Amino acid sequence: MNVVKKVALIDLLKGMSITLKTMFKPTVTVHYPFEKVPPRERFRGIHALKLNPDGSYRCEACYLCAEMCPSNVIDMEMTEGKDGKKELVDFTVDLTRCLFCGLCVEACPRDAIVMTDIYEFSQYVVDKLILHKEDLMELGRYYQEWERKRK
Amino acid sequence: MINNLLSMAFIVGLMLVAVPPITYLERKVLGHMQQRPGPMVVGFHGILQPLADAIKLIFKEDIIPKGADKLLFMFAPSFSVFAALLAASVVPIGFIQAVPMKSALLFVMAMSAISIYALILAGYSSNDKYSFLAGMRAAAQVLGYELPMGFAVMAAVILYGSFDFNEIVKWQSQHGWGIFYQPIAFLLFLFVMVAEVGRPPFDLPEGESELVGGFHTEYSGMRFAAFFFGEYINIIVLSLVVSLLFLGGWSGPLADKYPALGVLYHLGKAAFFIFLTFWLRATFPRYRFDQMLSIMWKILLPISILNLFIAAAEALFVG
Repeated sequence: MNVVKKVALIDLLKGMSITLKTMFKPTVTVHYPFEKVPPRERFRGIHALKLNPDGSYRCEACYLCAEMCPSNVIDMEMTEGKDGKKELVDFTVDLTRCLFCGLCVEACPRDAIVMTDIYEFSQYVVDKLILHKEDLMELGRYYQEWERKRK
Repeated sequence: MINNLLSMAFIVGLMLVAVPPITYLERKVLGHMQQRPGPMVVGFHGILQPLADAIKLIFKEDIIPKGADKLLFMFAPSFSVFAALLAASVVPIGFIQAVPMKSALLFVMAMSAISIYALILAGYSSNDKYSFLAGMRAAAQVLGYELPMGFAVMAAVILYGSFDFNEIVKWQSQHGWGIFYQPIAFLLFLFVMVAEVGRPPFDLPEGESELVGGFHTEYSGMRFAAFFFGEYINIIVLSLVVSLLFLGGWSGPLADKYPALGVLYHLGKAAFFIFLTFWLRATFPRYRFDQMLSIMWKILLPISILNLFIAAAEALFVG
C-alpha cells in the first residue's frame, strides 16, 4: 500500500489539490492603511486625562498612577492652588517606555487617567512621544466623545 | 531569411516582454494559494507592480563586493539571460520558427544545461561562502538531473524518430499526443524540468533558509534582476518544449487551416506548465540536498533507463 501511494504520488497530488482549492477561496487580508480593524472595547491604547463636566481637571495629583507604573512612565508636577487645593502644573506620559499594562488606570481613584483606543502614534521625533498635559486633555476630549458614542 | 529574422524578433520580444507579467502572475497565484491577494496597491489590483519593480531595480546601487572576481561577477548574470535566449531561439512556436534546426531538441538541452554555469560562476566570483556553496550545489545538482532528463528525452526521441520539433509535432498529429505513449517520460521530464530551472521544490542553489540568498546573495540592481530574467525565460522555454514533446505542440483542431490558432494552442499548453511551476512552488517545501540527489540518482535515473526499453518496444509496434 505504501509503495502504491509513493508510486502514484498520492500525497503530492493531495497537497496540490489543497493549494488549488485554496486559490479560489476569498482572501483574508485586511488592507491595513486603507482598511482598519476597529480595536476591541477594552483595548489599551495611549493614555488620556478626563475632564469634569465643568472643564476642571479630574486628576488631583495623588501620584498613585506614578507609583503603580512598572516602567516609570508617568511624571507630574503640582503646586498649591489659591484655595489650598493641589493643582496640576504638568502631567507627562513617556510613551517610549510605556508597556500599556493599564495599571495606572486601575490605580486611579478618580477615574481621571484612562486609555483610548488609539494605537497609531508613531512619530519622527522622539520628543513627540512624550505627552504633556495639553495633549492628554485633547485625548481626554476624544475619549469622552468616544465613550458617549459607545453608550 | 526575412521571415526568420521576424520570427527571431518575435521570440526574443515575447521572452523579454512576457517575463514581467509572469512575475506578477506568479505573485498573484502564490498569494491566492495562501489566501492573500498578492500585489494590490500599484495600479488596479497591483497590475503595475512589475513596472514599479523594474524602476526600483534599475535605480538601485550596483554593488560589487570587495575581493570579488570583477569580470566574472559582471559576466555571470548576462550569461544566464543569453543562455536562456539561445535556447529560446530554436524553439518553434507554431509557424514562427526563428532558427530551423534539425537537432533543435539537443540544442535546447545543451543551452538550458549551460545556463547553470551562470549560477556556478556567480557563486565562484562573489567572494562569499554562501554564494560559493550555492554554486557547488548547482554543480552537483546539474549532474543529478541531466541524466534522467537525457534519458526521458531519449525515450521520446526513440518514439518520434527525430530531434526536429517539426517532425515531433507531425508524428504526434498523426499518432496522438506523446503523453499517452510515454506517461513515465512525461512525468520524469516534469520533475527534472523543475530542477533544471531551479524552482521549488528543487531550488537548492537559492535555499534562503540556509544560504542567505544563495548564488545571488551579493548581487543587486539590474544584475540581480538578470538572474530572474534568465530563470523565467528558461521556464517559458522548457514549458514550450514539454508541450511540444508530450502534448502535441501546435497541433489541434483547425490548426492546419489557421496557423495562428496553432500558435495559440501551443502558448496555451505552455501557459499550463508555467502555472504548474507556480503551483508546485506554493505547495511543496524544499527538498534537502541529499534527498534531492538520492531522488535523482536512485529513483529517477533507473526509472528513466527502464523507460527507454518501453519506448523502444513502442517504437517497434507504433513506428
